[in-house]
This record gives sequence, C-alpha cells and structure tokens, in this order.
Amino acid sequence: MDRQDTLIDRLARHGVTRRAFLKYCATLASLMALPPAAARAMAEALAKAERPSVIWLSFQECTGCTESLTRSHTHGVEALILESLSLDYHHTLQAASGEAAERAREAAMKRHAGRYLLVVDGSIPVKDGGVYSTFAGISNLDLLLEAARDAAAVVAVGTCAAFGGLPAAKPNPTGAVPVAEIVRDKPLINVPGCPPIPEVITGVLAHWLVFRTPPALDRLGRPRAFYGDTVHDHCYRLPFYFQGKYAKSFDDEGARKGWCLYELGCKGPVTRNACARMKWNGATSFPVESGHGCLGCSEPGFWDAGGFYRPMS
Amino acid sequence: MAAAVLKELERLLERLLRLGQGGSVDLGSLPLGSADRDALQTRLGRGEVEILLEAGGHSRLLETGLPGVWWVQHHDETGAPAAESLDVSWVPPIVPAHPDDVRAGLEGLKRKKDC
Amino acid sequence: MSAPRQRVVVDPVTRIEGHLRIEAETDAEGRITRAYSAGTMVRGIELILQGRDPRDAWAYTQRICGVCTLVHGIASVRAVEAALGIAIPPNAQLIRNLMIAAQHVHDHVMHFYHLHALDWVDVVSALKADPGRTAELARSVSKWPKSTPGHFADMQRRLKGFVESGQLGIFANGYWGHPGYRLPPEANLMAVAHYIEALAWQRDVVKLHAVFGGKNPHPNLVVGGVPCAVSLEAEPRGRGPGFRGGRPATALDADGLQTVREAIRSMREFVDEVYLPDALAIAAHYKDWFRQGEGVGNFLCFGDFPGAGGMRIPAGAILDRDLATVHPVDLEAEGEIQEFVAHAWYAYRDGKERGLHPYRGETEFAYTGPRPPYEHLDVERDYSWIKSPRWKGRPMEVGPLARVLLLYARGHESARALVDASLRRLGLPLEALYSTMGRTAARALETKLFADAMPGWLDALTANIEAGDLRTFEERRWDPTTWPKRARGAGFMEAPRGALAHWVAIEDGRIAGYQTVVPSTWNAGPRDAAGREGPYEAALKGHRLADAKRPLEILRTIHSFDPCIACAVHVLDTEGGERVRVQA
Repeated sequence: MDRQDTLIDRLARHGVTRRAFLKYCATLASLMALPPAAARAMAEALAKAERPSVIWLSFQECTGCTESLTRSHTHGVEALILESLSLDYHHTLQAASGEAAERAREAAMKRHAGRYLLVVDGSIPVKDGGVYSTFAGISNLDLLLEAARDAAAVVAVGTCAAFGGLPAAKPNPTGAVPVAEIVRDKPLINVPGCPPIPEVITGVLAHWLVFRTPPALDRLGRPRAFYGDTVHDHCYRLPFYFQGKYAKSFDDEGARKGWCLYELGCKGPVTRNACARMKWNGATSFPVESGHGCLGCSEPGFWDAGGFYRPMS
Repeated sequence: MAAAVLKELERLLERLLRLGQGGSVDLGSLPLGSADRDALQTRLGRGEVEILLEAGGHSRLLETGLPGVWWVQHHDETGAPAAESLDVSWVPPIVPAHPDDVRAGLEGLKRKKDC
Repeated sequence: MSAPRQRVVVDPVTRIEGHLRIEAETDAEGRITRAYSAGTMVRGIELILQGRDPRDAWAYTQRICGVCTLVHGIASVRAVEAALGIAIPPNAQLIRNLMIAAQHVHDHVMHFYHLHALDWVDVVSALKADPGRTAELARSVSKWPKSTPGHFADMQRRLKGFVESGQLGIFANGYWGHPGYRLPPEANLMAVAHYIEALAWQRDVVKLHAVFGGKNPHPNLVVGGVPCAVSLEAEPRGRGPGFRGGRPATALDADGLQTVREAIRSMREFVDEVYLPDALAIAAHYKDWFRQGEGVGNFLCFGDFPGAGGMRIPAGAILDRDLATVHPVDLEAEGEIQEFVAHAWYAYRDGKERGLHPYRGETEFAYTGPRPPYEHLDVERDYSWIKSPRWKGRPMEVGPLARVLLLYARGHESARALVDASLRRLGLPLEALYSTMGRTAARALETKLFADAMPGWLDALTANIEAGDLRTFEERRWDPTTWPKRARGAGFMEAPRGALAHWVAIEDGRIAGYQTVVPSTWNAGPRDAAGREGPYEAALKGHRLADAKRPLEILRTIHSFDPCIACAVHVLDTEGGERVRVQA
C-alpha cells in the first residue's frame, strides 16, 4: 500500500511549523469571511487528513484558465499548500497520454472517491448527443457526470465553466452549458473571469484544501471575498469619474493622465471582480491601468452585452 | 461600530466563563474606520501580557485591559499585515504547544539521550 | 461504417493545447503505415462573431487560444485595420512587436519544458543522478548561476519526496523506463530542475504583456494601435477606496518601461543560458530523431515584425525542400490558400471535394462520426473537426522550422550563423532539420533570434517617447460612421506555432464574414480530397513503436509541432447565418 502523507507532514518537512500553518488558516479564514472558530477546528482535523487529490477536466476551453493558474504569484505557506496537493489528472500537464492518462484518472477517482476536488474549465456542449467535444471517445457530458459523482465538491474555473462563456454566446452553436446546469447535487464554487485572476484561482483552491468546505458565495456561486465588490468600487480612477473627467480616445490628454474610461465603454461599474484590488501578474497592472476599459469578463453573458466600446447608458 | 464589537466581546466573555471556550472577532471583515479603531483601542486599554510569535512572519498578541480579550495581529513572510482579530480566550489557542509536537519533541529528546 | 482495423489510438494526446486524437495503423514490426489526426472539439466561434462590431472581434478570436494568448487578437486587429485602411503609429507597431516577440519566447520555453521535455526526459531516472556531476554537466553547457551541486541536490530531494509520497500527480503512469529514453541521469536531473525553474521564470516575464495589455493571459488590444497611453508626467492620480499604491496615471510610464526592460533581460538570459543549451544538449543524445518525422517537405510563412526595413520574418513558400526558390505568397489570391473538408465534419454547399478561399469560406457542422462513447473513428470518411488548408493545392508545414528555413533561404545573416554553428556542434548536415528533432531545435534557435531583437524595439520606443512622440493610437476611422458600406481585409502574423491569418468582411459597420486559417490547422488537418495527408499524419509514418501501449514515439513527433488544437478548430463563416446540421 502507498504510504499516506498528510498536509501537516509535508509542511513540516519544508520547515513550516504548526503555528505558522494555524496562522495562515486564520489569515485565509479572514480573507474568505469564515467564522474564526470553525477555521481552527478544521485546521486541527487536517493533521489527520491525506494529501488532497485534485482532478482537473478541460472541456470547451482555450487553456487560458490553466495558463492563468501557472501565473500565480503565491508565496510562503500558500505556495507549499498548493505544492502539496496531488494534481492527479490534468490534461495539459499530464506526462502520460491516451490510455495511460485515462487509467491514472480512473485510479485517482477510485482511490479518493468521495474526497477529491473536481476542477472544470470550459463549457459542456450538450447539443446533438455531445458530438462537439469528446475525450477518449467519451462526450464531455458523460465524463463530467462520471467525474462529479464521487467528487467532494466541484470548482468551475473561468467564465465558460461558470456561466457558459464564449461557446454559449449567441447563437450558441454547440448547445454549450455551464457546469451548474449539469452538476446539481454537489457543492459548486464558480470562479469566473476570462481568465480568472491567478491568485483568485489559487486562493479558492487553497481554501478548499485547508478547510474542505466552500467559502461564502454570492447568488451566482462566486466567493464573496473576491467577487463582493465591483472593479469600479476599487478603481484608482474612480475620483475622475466623480469629477467628470473622462478619456475620449485611447491616446488623448485624458488617456495619458489616467482619466476615467467610462466613455470608452468600461464595464467596471457592473463587473464584480478583484482586478482593481489585487491587480495582475505580480500586481504589475490591470486592464484599466493599461488604458483599456473593463470587458466585464467575470459576469454572465458579457459576450452578448452589446459591445466593448459602447458606453453603458 | 465600536459599540457592536464591545457587545460581541461581552457575549464571548460570558461564554468563556460558562463553557471554558470563547471565540473571536475578525477585525479584517469589519468596516472599521481609523476613528472607530482608535475608539476601540482606547476603550479596551492595555493589559499585562504581550506575546511575540515568529512563525511564517511575525505576530503580536496583546492582552487588552479586559482580561481574556487579546488583540491579535498577524503579518506574513514579507511583513505585510495578514490578519487582525480580537480573541477571547484564557490564552490565544495558537500559543500553547500542540500535543503532537510535544510528543515529537519528547521522542527526539529520548533518541538523543540513547546515543 | 467500415470495420475498424488494428490500430493504436492515442486519445487524449496530453501536454498540448486542446483536444487531439491520433489513430495509427502499424505493420507486423510495429511500424506506422498510416496515421490519422483528429481534432475532437469545436466551439463555432465563427457563427458567434456574425453581426458583431468588428472592433470587438479581437477579444472573441483571442479566446480561440489562451496559450498563444496574444496572437489571434493581433491577427484580428490587423485584419480590421487592413479592411478599413488604418495605418497604426510607429510606437504602436514597436509595442506590438515587443508583445509578439515576448509571446514567442514565453510560449516556446514553456512548450519545451512543460509540454515537450517529458518525451525525452525520464523523471524517475533523475533520482539516480549525482548532483555534483549534474552541476559539472550544466556548467559545461552554460554560465547559469544556479547550476550548483547544492541546487541540484535540493531539486532531487524535492523530486524524491514527491515520488516517495506515493501520489505521483501529473507524473503518474508516465512512460518512465521506456527504452526510448536515453539521457544519462544527470541530464535528466538538469532538465527536471529547469522544468521547475522555467515555471517561476515565465510568471515574471509576462509582466511585459501586463504593462502594455493590462494582464496575461488575454492582454487587451485595440483596433488602430495599442490601448495603453504613454504617461510620463506624474499627474496627481485619483485614489479609490481600495487603492493600494501604483503608478501616477497609466502602466506605460518610466517604471513600466523599466519593467519591460527587465523582462527582456530575463528572457534573453534564460534563453541563452538555459533553454538553448538544454535543447542542444538533449538533442545530442537523440541524433536518430534528426532522421525521422519530417512531414510534407513544404513550408509556409506569412511574415511578421514589420519595421523600417520590411518584415523581420519574411513571407514565402518553400516546396519540396528546395531552399533555392522562395515562392511569393498572396493571401488575397483565390487560387492560393484554400480549405478542404473532404475528411472533416463539415459540409460545403457545392460538395465536399472543392476547396474554398477564406473569403468564400463556409461553416456547416455535419457530424458523421460515431456516437460517443466510441472506440474508433471512421477514417475512411470524415474524422476531424479540423479542416485541411492547402497552398496551391499542397499541404504545407508552418511554424518554427518553416521560419528558420525561410530566414536561411533568404540569407538572413544571424539566422544562418546560428543554424550553421548549432548543426556543426551536433555534427549534422542542414538536411537534419527536416525531422522531429530538427523542428524542436529550430524552435529554440528562433527563440534566440526573437529575444535578441527585442532590445532594439524597446530602444526605438524609448527614443520616440523622449523625442516627444507619444502617439500609440490612430483615431481616424475609429467611428463606424466613417467606414465604407462594404470593406474586407486580411490580417496576418507569425504565431509561435506558425503562419496565422484572419480574413474579415464588414458590411454596414458589422461583421458579415470572418475566417481564420491557423497554424495548427495547416499542421494537424486531416487528408484532403486527393487523399494527401497533413503534416502530422505524414510525419508519423515510418515510426517504429517499441511498445504500442506506451506510444512515446508518436508523442515525440506530435509534440515537436507544438499542437494547439483549440486554434485549429476555428472556422468562421463568411456567409452568415446558423446552418448546423448533424447527420449521424
């Protein structure tokens, strides 16, 4: 039999003490608005838990969400926790192909039945018996149903998995649907964005790995910690909005002075995401800081919202 | 806002005396302005104990003027503030050594003695 | 449906972008006699684009692929600019060049380490390596400062902890111990260490895209230039409630330019000291792979990196390995680029035998394959969601090898010097490039050429800004009321995986038709009406599989092309209207 390795064991090997771990749990619980007492109890339980298994399935997607995950600037305890998860299947990163890869997936699903976390990126085409996307000859729909059956919870990463995204934009040629329309009997966490912010993906994964319970979610199934406020709420250009100073072109005086992009079609006021707060790529910038209005990519139906350069009325 | 926090502390202190278990108030999740904060600090005052922790960045745990109420500030590895709370407990639960760690330490001590 | 023959099936092909299936027929000795390449996912982005604002198209097409996350956006804005006759300012051109080159460098390094390396590198064998000798080996090929015995010992410890935990994660069921692996343990450990280092490196160098485009993946672009205005005067900026520090006005200021300069320095250093030396060191152990996996022997480039002296990468076609003749390529000519659907799950109104130029392209789903779940595809009929593009009727390979050959054929000095010196070191003739390992080597060589070109573009941009030229966007023709009633144009570029072009037709300010022909369509497409194989299919022929259950040889050659299947299955309908028909 394989030796079971707990998260605490692995962290200890990397010099992370129990107190450092408890402290990280307190931090994460605070970020995710979890009751502190609950956090401590769960952190205790972890001492006995095995390394968490993650199965990642990609359907109608562009791999942008996986790419985003690899851009995450995490450090310290969180980086080690993420390193300690067992990514038992991921089609873009998996060493084995074909039958060997599928066998690895089936083995992990069996071994960790009821306990693994299922991560999905991409929408699922259900029209015409699912012929528009298959995998080892199996339709995405069948694969998702099979993988979700024994999952502890499901994370829909990216707007395609969370809300249907681009494949579901009008006229939705392949009958693409989000995970929520197929998986109804499991805890589901939606992490939208095209792609989502890297540290939001890792934050949600770390939260699950530590607490084994979903964080507080909004009515669209998004973690409130990241999707509670709009981009506009935290935008550094917000004062210009109140002053009525707007850029009217991409390199006029207002654009060069960092004025509000409302008139160039910015969707920040109706987009719930953490871009303005957490920023991108090691806090280098975010779309508005680099002169382009927010596309609204973490909202359902943003592709069909009427044009990226049309000011909101 | 400070009044609401004090009310919650009252409830948690009663609970601590009755059940032996308190709780905590996450300050990060409250919309505390700096005036609210100052008011809260003045109202709670300073106690006798200050605990410093070096574990994945430094932490400071200050007993307030209300015995059993601790002002807890955690910083991450880079020194940035990570979490802040008011803990209601005899001693904040992150401080006492964990039995598993004590056990591991004892085993290590015995091994050293043997050789 | 005909009875399925004895076949090796690889589905999913992992370590690629997208969903690819390979079916191969082997003879008694395990040698591949016929191979079939099938894309098994389609989204119909073509149909989705109909009737939308052409200025929005870049964002939709960019989502064709999140790996080469920039390229469809660039091809799209160029197509719309071509249709509307917009010339972008020089600064915008320089910024786009920097973004495109950064995409190549980032993409090629990640492909090499995270998608391709495990075809040549046995992770388990790295556990047997001696860290001291590994450091000696690393130092014999480069000056990379991390090449110390302690660093390699540390990496080996991490790997050991991983293997001993019993949960192998993404390395589970790899083909470890396969007789095809021939690197000594030390070379394996060196490559595994760099696999991990490259993951951290790539996170930082994409900051170049974040400065100009606000984020990566999927940086922002704009028709007429680039969205990020230059801000050099420090105006007092606004501070929102969640303000956590930052720049005075926009990301493109003195600090932003410094971030870009640092990213370029880091890219060049990693390419010179890690990627290129590793690629050549690994190649030296697999010289037999310089003699197989050629493909079709025809190569195509559309060209890229416009500047004062023309395109840095030239356009042109090379046929039958004849480097003496570079044929001109015209994206507008009816008879040159055509797409066929003879073996793809689409119908054309005038029958499946004809090829159509992208301006006349049609998209009608017509699935005739087996109902999932299935064991085999019906390869005698249609078997892929990828179309088969042809240039003057011929299948063409696109990508790094095509570009390196084009540069070589055109007498590009630094390209010639680099190719000649590298081949000399390996003791191989120029013909060795027509192969699986030749393709992999060409990718590393061109990465150096592009990385080395970047400081020049940044210097020119900085000089323009210092001289007072801050223009990054051409405003004329932004307003749709200034557009002609009808317009059409082609936009092209060289993406990491090869020649990419978009064709757009605009009517009354809306998209009336949009078609893309992308690199992996050229390379991964199925047979055409005349039965001619695409490059993947041709390249696999003749491979001998040591163990059909562990088809390492197939992966080596397929990965040498760096498949991007979400890209390949694109197809945009220029005629409009939803016409989806499913037969099976």
